[in-house]
Amino acid sequence: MSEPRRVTDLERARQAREVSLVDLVDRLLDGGVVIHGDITLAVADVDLLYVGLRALVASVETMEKQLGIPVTAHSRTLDATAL
Amino acid sequence: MYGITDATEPPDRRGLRDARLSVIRESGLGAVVSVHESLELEAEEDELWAHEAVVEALMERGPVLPMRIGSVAADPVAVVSLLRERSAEFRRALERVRGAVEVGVRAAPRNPSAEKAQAPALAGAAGPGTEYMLARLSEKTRDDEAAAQIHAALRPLARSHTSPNGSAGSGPARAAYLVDRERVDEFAGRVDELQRDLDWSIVCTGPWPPYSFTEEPG
Repeated sequence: MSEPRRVTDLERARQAREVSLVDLVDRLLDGGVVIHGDITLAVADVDLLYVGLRALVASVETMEKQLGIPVTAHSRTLDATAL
Repeated sequence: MYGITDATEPPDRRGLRDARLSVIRESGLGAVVSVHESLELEAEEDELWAHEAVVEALMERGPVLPMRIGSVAADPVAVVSLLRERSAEFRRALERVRGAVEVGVRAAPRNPSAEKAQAPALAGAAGPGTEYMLARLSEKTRDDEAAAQIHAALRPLARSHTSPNGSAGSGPARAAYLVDRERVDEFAGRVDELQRDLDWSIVCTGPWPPYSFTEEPG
């Protein structure tokens, strides 16, 4: 088995942040209560941003697969103390 | 609008653009809002977190139905009518999420190339193209089975879940689970066990407000 490439803590932290951010974007732009009629969505260019972030997480996940390391979301990973 | 709750007081913090938060009450429900002359969000990261921070503050105090970011009403009257018209639906939804949080799960095989190497030799008379397709197919079947196994192991720990989508062939398998607060540790422990047993990389994030569970199930 080949030796996985070393990943610096900084790099992992960046990946973790990206994973968190994508989970956040998924929820805020695609989930939640949706209202039709009098209430409108005041968010510009959502589609573009959304597509961009999806592309980004795809690359993070590819990296994760190739390196065989789980990308842990530092600020949002399940942690008993965060509850 | 940030979220719908049964709270009567706004959380002690500021909203988007550092605006003051207030609660519009109607039919036993409260919509947490901030007032802006005009609001056009760019969905930048700080805006997303600003919305999220308000919803999380609400979640700490009781059940909340998060609004999709950027939900804007022309005036308070529109918010009052919304609460009145959909009060039964919102109350049922608040009960469904009471005491629970959302956990996001993303799973992918840890080492797909090793699996490929182990794929059974299905050579025989078939040409190399067919052989490749059969190997890919068996790989995909195995990944789908593992993804289903992960979902089956996590589902009993959750109050509700979204239908899992994606698989190893088309990106990671993803699902959201609505988990009782007191079972979140158990849920995270199960994820760790599955990672070890299956040699899959499983990332779970949360606890999130129940963004994926605001609609009536089914």
